[in-house]
Amino acid sequence: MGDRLTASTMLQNEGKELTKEEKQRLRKEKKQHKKNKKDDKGPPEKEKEKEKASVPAPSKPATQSPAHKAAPAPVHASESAAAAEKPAKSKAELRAERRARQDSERTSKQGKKEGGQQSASSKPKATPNELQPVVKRLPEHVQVDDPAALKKLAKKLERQQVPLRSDYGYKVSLFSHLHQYSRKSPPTLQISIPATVIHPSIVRLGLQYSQGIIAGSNARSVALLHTFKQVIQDYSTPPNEELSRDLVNKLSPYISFLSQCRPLSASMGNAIKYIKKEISNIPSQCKEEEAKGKLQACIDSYINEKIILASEAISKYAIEKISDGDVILVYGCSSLVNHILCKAFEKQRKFRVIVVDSRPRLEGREALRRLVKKGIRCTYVLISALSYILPEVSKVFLGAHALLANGYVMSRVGTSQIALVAKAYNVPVLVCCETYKFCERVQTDSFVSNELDDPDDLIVTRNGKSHLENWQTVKSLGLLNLVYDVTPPDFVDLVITDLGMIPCTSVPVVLRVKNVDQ
Amino acid sequence: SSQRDPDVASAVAAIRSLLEFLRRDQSETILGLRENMTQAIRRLEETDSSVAVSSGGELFLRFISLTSLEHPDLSQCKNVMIERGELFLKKISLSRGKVGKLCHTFIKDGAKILTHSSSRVVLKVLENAAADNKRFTVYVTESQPDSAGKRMAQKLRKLNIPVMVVLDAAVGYIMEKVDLVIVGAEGVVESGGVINKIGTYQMAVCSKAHNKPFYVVAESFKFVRLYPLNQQDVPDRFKYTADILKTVKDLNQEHPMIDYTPPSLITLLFTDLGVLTPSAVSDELIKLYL
Repeated sequence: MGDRLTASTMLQNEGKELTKEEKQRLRKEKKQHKKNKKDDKGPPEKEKEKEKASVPAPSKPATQSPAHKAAPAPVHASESAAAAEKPAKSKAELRAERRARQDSERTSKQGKKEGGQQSASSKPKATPNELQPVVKRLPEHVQVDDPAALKKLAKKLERQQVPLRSDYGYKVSLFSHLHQYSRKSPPTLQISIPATVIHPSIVRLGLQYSQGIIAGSNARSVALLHTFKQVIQDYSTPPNEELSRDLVNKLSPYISFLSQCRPLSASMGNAIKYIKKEISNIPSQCKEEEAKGKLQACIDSYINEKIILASEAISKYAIEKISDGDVILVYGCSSLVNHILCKAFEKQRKFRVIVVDSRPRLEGREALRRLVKKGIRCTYVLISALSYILPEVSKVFLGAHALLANGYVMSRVGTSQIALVAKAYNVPVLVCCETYKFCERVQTDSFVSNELDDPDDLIVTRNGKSHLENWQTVKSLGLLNLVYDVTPPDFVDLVITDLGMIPCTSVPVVLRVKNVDQ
Repeated sequence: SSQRDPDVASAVAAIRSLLEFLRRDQSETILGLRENMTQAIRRLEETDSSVAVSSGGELFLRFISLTSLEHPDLSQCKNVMIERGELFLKKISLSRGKVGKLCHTFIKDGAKILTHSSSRVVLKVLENAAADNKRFTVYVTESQPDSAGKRMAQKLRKLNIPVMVVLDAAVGYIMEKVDLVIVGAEGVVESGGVINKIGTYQMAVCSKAHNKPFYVVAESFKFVRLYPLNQQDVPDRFKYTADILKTVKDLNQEHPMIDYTPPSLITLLFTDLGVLTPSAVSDELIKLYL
């Protein structure tokens, strides 16, 4: 296996030296082959690629698009990686092809590869589904305990020259399928300076994510988009390459690196999907400067519409729901909820706020600071005092990290608890969420897909003693620091979005309307 | 006009008068026309503060201006709008019949039905069921303060349906005897809940406790873009009659005429758009309003 790997990497390096003409020829051949084979799939390869690229895959947009775009050999491995999780028949087929490729010519490889790729990619299309026939595969970040998936990931990262971050510490068995990283070993340790493959502002962004300097769904998305603007600014199309194809390929290792630093959020996934769509929509005759300017403008308008203006619209609706004499409960630090409360206070509504906070992040303190600075009367409690103060509360405002397609709300851990107790006390629960955070995923529990934060955060020092300091030495002890949880729609009374106030069960309707718009 | 013609819903009468207003309107621009229409709707709301008038008016306005009014000539635009207005009016006049046809199949032979106050739609449903040769008995609540339930009982007796009037306070007592509950609605809100005569919420809570199905029958022009979180969140202009709103200073002393029933207590809604679950109402509203 070892020498096969080196052989394939040698071939990959050979592939890099292919001239642009050969690459274009190979691409055209593939296109022709596909067109001939699939008559009923009318749209040409580019559109099919776009469709595939726009298919929701919040944590793996990177591998799906290069799977069908660029021809060169380095991508074949990812194509086979992407197709390999589909039924075993095509997997074996692809493996055989890979072996054959290692001792034969490039062009004959191409023919077999196309055959295999088509049978693999025709499988999802064959499923009788009149809407989008998507075979959803498990994203790699929930398959950490599967060695095959890990190997695949390692290969992919090696090819992209992105450092692989290793897990830290003992993981509680229920969550052993998730990554658990330590803040003390950032992924940037393994990168050489200056980084050649990864743009320096991406490195900086990754570090800020992994150390928790930038936290919060909106903040992360905005930072990501600004960094991409910088990347696009510094990008120059290599000769014989098209901007629309090459830029997307350049973005893939960046995205892999960022997800190594911290798993991507749903909002970031949607933003990336949007950017990729915009990039691939750039017409080929567009000049580079013009294209770059267009992309920058797209990103700016995305931030403006989906985040800033959405927040204004949501505040407008939310203020109608705040009446004088209200006691509002908020949890943690949601930029949107803070914005709403500040706006309501400016509009002279008389209310007071109870901020609920929880360890280890203690984000409520930041929310408390912002609200008190505005002059709003606040009370601060820890989540353990929740049932004590709830009889006083008239409304609960919660932020969301993402809204799932079955109406479940994914938010900071502890939100579901607040919603549950509020329901028991018959207090209305309002969730505020912009539409760009809606994702097509479906989840009914907090186990299957979550994020594990650094377990060392749970160690607390009191009176000079930190009892959990040596938790690694105790064999039967595991520290669990969950980041997210899901709240079922029965506990949520109202969702306020920039499209208006909707019940939690209407999220798929909004997703449908949005897809129609696009 | 709704007092003169008791068979016509006040909202339908309101829309008819709006259409007439549109015909006679003298404004020069489309914007001016819309402004006048909104003012007219507001005036109508002042005389009859029911939710249905407000929702019906707004839907009427949206329906007639939904067309792409590209004609350069204002009178042509107006004619298009009037045509669409008449279409809208015809549709909603037929809606009650549609609802009746949909719902009466849910009433089985030998059923005991509980209803609240006086609703023309429920009457139509029961009429259709009786015409289908089904035997059933009806319990109607008195529905104070205006004793609307007694009027409903009279109308049902004319149709030869056995009916019994019960006290509002006897809803819990009678619930174990009945098989299903059917009520009308003054407004259907975005969450899928309904706004109806005071006492409906109580009936819904009781029927949930006894596991009896709670059906609501409403025409689609009653769908309104409100989203109350609880009873206090319903705007005051719907809770009290128009005269009380104008004369009384301290509304806290007055008794509200309507209450809000949350969607968790409703089994099904029968509308002219079909039989809907409460969560589907939002879907329909998005289609109607967006």
